[in-house]
Amino acid sequence: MPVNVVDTDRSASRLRAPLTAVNRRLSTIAAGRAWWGFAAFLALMAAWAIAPDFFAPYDAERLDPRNRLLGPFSDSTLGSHWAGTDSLGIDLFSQMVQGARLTFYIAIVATLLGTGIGVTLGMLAGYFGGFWDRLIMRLGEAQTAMPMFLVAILLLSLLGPSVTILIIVLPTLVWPIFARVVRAETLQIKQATYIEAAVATGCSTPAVLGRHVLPNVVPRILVLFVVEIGHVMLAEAGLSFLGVGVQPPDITWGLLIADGRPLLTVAWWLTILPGVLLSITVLSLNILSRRFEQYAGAAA
Amino acid sequence: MVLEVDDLVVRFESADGRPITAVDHVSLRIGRRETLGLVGETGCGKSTLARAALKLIPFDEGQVKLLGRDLGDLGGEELRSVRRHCPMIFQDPRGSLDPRMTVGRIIDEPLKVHRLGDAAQRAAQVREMMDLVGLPEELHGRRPVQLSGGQQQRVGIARALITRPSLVICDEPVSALDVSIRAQILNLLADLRDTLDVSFLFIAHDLAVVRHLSDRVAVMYLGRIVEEGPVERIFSEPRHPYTQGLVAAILRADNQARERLQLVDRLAAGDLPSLLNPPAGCRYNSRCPYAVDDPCRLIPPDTELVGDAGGDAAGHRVACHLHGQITPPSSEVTLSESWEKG
Repeated sequence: MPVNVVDTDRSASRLRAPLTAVNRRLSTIAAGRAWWGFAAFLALMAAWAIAPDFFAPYDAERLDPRNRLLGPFSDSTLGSHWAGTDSLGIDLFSQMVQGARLTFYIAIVATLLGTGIGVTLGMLAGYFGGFWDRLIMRLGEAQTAMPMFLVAILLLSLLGPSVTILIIVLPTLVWPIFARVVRAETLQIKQATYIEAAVATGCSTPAVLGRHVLPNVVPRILVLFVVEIGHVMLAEAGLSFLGVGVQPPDITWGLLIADGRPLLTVAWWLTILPGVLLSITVLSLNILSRRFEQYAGAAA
Repeated sequence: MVLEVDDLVVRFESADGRPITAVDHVSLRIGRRETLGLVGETGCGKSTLARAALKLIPFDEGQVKLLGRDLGDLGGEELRSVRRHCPMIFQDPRGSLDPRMTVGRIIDEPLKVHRLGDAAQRAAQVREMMDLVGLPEELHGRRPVQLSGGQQQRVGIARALITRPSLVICDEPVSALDVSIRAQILNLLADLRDTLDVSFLFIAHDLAVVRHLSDRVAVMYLGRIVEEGPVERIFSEPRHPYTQGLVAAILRADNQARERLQLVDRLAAGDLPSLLNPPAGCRYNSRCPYAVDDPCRLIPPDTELVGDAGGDAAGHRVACHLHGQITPPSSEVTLSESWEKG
């Protein structure tokens, strides 16, 4: 029996309806001057990821049992811990700084892979149409319809959690989105006279796709890429939270949240502070991508 | 012969699956350094004919030979390499240029595609070609949106000519341009035709535009060529009622304008019939003031040579049952005398 695509779309949009107000608010923020603040925040996070030792006040692996579970803005024999310490007495701020690298690394690499797969398949589907189009888009739909998060958990628990497996599994969550957007763009570009001109000039099909179609979908991909980094970051955090993602002694923000969860009632900062950090990062990526989109829209 | 088209047929399927014959047994010849003007209303199949003649779209019957090579047998790589000899200039100058490429890269692309010369040679050729079509050198790094319509079309012309082709297909190259710029582009094309060793297939829906450039003119109606001949003959002695209407429709300021417009009304009344359901017999019979039931509404007319075999009238062909019987309207109204070739 054929999948009823229209119905799922409709119910999804009904679910999303209360979010349109938020959506509009975010676009307004991106259009104003505040986007600079979010961009600066992302730049700081990038700096953490690039040079954690410069920003982390303490060694993130050094245990200090005497100073366990100190609250925010407390002092120990080492000095002040403005984000507090965890159950082993390790400075939380230092851990958050150290966690930025792997968090960004996994999110960016996995999104890049997903983008590569999605853009290639989307372009092929849009340009050639027919059988390939149906095959690729059904594949994407089947995957979107499946609870991929559960599949990821299954895969990771079967193969054993590791950063490599995580980077292989996460792109499957994002490629259908890229494929769908790029396919739609390609369908439109295919109609343009400059594509006919390229064919009349004698360009081979790979040349038409690589030289004329791809550069014209790049603005859309760029915007989507930035948002999807945020989504992948959340997915990684979710998997790490459930214990099938990143394993200690590696640190990511998702893992910090998971580690703090059993102590939520006694040491709220262990969960809340990395959570806030992750939320602001994803929000900043979202705002920045909207800014890109508005900029690209104004340029066209 | 640069291009030989014989009995070409192109069929499409309409949205509801009915067959449409867009090009119906058309034959054309274009010699070396010759310019053929192809005229007809929007939707008569002239663009389809041009694209099928280059095998940009597949054709169903007939034969096409470019520079003596049968395009019907060619595919893939061979067909691509033939394309350097037969580039195209498009109606929409802005749309035909990739918005993300610079002028220099657009003009360079055919050379790159066909691997003609190294980077330095190509750069020199691009500069030379920009000069030839009248593009200032500082536009080299600009993008199409930063150019005017006339400059955009000059880029299109430069791209077409950079490979030193034998045949250039111009698909209504001035229809989308302002009238003031139209003359500049037509003059440029006329100069290039005179100075380069190249043939043109020049498509237009306006006879006046074609007259500037063409050696011969073919008039197309509903997928068929109804009249073809040397440009002067078509303008001074049009034989087909449709051609007569088109010639009369050319705008001129003189004291017979009113009479001519009445003539246009009589000769080409109403709209182009649908290709889905073309009239039986002669396809023009639904609009022709002379049409009679037998033979016009029964039998499609053959294409016949008219006039003297040689001289001015060489190769003047017309597809009309009555071409010998109807009086050319030039006896009533002046059609061409006051019209200077530009």
